[in-house]
Amino acid sequence: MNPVLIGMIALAILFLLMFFEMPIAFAMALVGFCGFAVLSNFDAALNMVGLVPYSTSADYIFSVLPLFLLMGEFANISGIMGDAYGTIYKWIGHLPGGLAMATVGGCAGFGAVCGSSVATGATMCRVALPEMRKYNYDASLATGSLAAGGTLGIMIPPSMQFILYGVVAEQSIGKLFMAGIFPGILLSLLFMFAIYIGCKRNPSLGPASSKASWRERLVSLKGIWGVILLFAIVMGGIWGGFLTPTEAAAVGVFVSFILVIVRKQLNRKNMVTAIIGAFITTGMCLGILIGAMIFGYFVALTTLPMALAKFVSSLAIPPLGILICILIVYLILGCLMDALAMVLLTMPIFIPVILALGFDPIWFGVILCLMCEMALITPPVGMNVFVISGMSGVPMYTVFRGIMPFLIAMVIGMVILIAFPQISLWLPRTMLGR
Amino acid sequence: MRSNWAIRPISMSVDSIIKALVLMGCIIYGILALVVVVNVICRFLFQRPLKGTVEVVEIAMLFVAFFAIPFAAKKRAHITVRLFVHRFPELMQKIVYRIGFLLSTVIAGVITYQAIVNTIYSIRHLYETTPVMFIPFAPLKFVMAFGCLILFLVLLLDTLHPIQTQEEPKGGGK
Repeated sequence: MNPVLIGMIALAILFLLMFFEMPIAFAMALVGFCGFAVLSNFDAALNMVGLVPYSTSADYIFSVLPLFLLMGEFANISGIMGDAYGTIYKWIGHLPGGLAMATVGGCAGFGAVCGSSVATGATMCRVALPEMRKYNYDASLATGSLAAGGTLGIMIPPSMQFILYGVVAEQSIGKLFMAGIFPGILLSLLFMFAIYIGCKRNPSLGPASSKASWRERLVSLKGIWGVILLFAIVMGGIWGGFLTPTEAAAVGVFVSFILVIVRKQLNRKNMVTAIIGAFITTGMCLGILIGAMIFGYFVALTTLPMALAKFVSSLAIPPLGILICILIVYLILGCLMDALAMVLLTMPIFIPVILALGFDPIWFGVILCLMCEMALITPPVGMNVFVISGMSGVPMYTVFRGIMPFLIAMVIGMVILIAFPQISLWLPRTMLGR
Repeated sequence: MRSNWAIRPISMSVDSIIKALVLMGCIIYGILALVVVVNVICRFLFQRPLKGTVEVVEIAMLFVAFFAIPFAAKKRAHITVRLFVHRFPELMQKIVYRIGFLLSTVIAGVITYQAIVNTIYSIRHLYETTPVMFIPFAPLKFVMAFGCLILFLVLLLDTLHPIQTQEEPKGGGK
């Protein structure tokens, strides 16, 4: 049988297994193993599944993942987030929808020290939701801003999505981190703008809170030193070429641990929560990464990506049209599956196509990250929405209703990033340690 | 379920092993971060990076990965797509979950088998070592085989254990 056809049948089986709730990591490994056995032989497939998990986990590059996860957990328990939110609240809380805007700003701040969108959304939910409830914010705006703001965690570096994309697409993680900074800021501003417009049109959505004096605002600035310090050391180290991403992550763990001590949050309960939390997420990520690698070996054997790249290149459609088609595929997949799985599943297939079309893979990483952000809040499978709805007790439908303005902002952001790739690519090009 | 009496002791043993693995894994996790930080400090302060850092990190990663993956499986933290199955009748849900666990067990079993084969090979070829610190591969391959075996047992127990609907896979997307 034609290897490409086998590849397509295997993909169909994989989707079937996933939709029947088989863990994605094992589904990819199983399909990858069986497909490899069909295309080569059973012994070769056995050898492959024996070697790939070892080589994937015992890889220096992958160590960046657990280290950034641990840094995010320490930053979380240190409580720097609450202070950063307080500072932003003092500055813009008096505007219509100001608390929701402060929530988005807080999410962007937490995203700068944590690479997980769910963790960002969940942390901000604990901090910001009681305040918004106190000021009678509309439930859909309050929860929508939390769910959408949380997605900034994967755009603003450090980002798990960028790490995994960098590993699978063989791109520089440092460059990807740098490429995410301006798009992250752009998205934050677009989210704030969406809130402002919504609250201007309907002030009952987010009533303005009391205005802080200039003195209070200036004093509040001391609340964001922790976030700025951590971000400056980690991202400055990567940008300046002083540290590799792995080293930056380890130094970030060290600095965030110092912050935990300085802020008197060091106790047994906090430490167990942080380390076990990072450990379990590491297990989940590495599991799916190993599954994706096994599946990737099989996909390479099918020559499906090459055939697809050849087919797409021969189409009489401009590259932008093909890119839009790919983005539509991601939009559909994003509605159905987890963002992490979506990246790892599709990268072996799509990255040759992107390269064949002449797109910059770093820029595409940013676009893909934005698609992942959408995937986290689009129904029926929107992980951030599930978490925020679960934590707040607000019905899922209300949260999904609240994310609509943010989805529109994301689409506008996408158009801007596609039209002006330099927004993503300028900073990586200025890196000193390339 | 009558089969509970047979599963319980195995399940308790696996739980105890996982607890030990988590403890060791977390300690190694800390060591992993510490080694990289010390390497950075040595490089900046003494212009002398720590010898073998990359190798130590890779070995630590191996421990962390193969101790964390079974733990994530035990906590049902591996990502699943929750779309239709929770809408099925209860019996149908149980059957679907059990098939999913069974297939996961099969692939975990295949990987475990090959990991054990690789470990035996490495034991017979102890002269094959890591390039900088000359650590034989055999104990490292054993770590992988052991982690995979525990993963296999966790999944097998999930397959054999009567599935409660309130214990549905949760997924842990990030």
